[in-house]
Amino acid sequence: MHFVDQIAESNPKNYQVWHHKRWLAEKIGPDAANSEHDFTRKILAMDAKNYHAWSHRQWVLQALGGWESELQYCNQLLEEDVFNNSAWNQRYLVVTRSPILGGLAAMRDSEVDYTVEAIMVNPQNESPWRYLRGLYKDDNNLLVADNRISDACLKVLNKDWTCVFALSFLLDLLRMGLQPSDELKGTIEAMENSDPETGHADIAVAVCSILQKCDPLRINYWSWYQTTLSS
Amino acid sequence: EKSTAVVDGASLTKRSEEEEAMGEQGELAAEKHVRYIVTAEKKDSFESLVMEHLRASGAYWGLTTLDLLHKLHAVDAAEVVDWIMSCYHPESGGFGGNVGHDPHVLYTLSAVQVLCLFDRLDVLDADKIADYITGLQNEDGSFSGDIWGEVDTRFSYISICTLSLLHRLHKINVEKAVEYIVSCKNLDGGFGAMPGGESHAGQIFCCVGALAITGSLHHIDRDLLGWWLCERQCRDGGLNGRPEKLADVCYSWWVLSSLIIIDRVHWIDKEKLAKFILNCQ
Repeated sequence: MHFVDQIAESNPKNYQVWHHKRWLAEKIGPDAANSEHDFTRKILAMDAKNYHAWSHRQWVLQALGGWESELQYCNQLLEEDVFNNSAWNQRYLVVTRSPILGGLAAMRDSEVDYTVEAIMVNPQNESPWRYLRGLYKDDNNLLVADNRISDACLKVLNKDWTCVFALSFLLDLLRMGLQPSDELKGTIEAMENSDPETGHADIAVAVCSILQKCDPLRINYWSWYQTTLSS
Repeated sequence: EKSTAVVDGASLTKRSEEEEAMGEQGELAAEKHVRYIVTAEKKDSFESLVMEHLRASGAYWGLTTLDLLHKLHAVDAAEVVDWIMSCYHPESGGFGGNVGHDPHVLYTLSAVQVLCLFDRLDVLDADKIADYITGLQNEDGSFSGDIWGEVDTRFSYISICTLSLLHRLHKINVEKAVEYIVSCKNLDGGFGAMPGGESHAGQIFCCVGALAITGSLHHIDRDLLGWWLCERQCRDGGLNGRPEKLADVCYSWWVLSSLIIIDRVHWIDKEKLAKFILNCQ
């Protein structure tokens, strides 16, 4: 394994060498867990998004164990780069599948706080917004009812009304049945007033219209979204 | 090792009406691309050597490009077919990436695809090849790349695509294959290499393609995935493969094909993408 690690280190994106490591680790068994975690950590220190390293690390966790420090590892990586989508993905794996954390329902509350904080520091970051959705999985009602989330959207938009991720998330919440607060309505109106062309009675349609202007690359997507807002 | 291409001077200089039109826009340098492809066979270059193991796939990429540019006749079909078949392992039914290289599904698909380009599937023992692939399906429905057991949704796509081209898709357990692919679906609507793996445009193409071929697109939330895919478009017009990564022209294929399969390609800005691609020329 030492020999293979040397080759893997110089060829970290080669499929075959990672598969060989896995084949070897399988034979060594749980004793290999620590060294495999150390090795992937080393590779990820050079390239924190190396897909092969992450695949291997996920396999090691599920086959050989070592969950204890994984959430902390995700914290560390996200501290270094909050934009690291791979780390957010790993976080989701840990939160949902770690045998020692209690599962998604148990972790949801603290994770929402963590994610909202990450969003407030860097709202223009695709990953935590998606992660938030993941935390509420198939439960739209719970998502809509969590005030922290609609508050976060509002806070972000008050600072930067062109933040597409916030607008998009807000749109989803509205479509799921969020009853906009007066403050939220006021913020949207203010956005519309900066562009006198728009002026919609329906707040979701208003947000859609704003998105078509703020995210012209995806104007067709937002136009389509608007057609789904029938009632 | 035989050359896979013969330069046909007359074909290279003759231009079709389409090419004239593109040339007038001053954009796609089709002739230069054709020339690059047919003369890429430099056996003594370092690049050629380190890519020796995937020559069969390189042949497919080059030849399919020629075909798209209506220049497939620039190569000698018989020579290509002969060379492809010299990569075949009759004992296993698989193809290696080059002469003398071990069989793998990657190169098996490439070989079959190349033969399709020349309409020469007749040279194949389709049942034998189908058996090779069938033997690589695992109990959970996934596919290994070869006898050494590496599993990846890429191999699901490759296996399904190969068998589909050979009209022998029924030889695998399609239901289980689909089940495995669906188990690799993430909450963002995308797919990873294995269950729990980060959504990645390349893996998404493989999973979406496999589901399409097996008539299983109903497992996909087209609007959700379509949105994830159109979010790959960066400000420079190019497409990336995952959130917060840089655009790369290869994702023009993975993302674009996926969008087309799920009928959401109108959600990206095509003009800006085209400009990005031409800037990579």
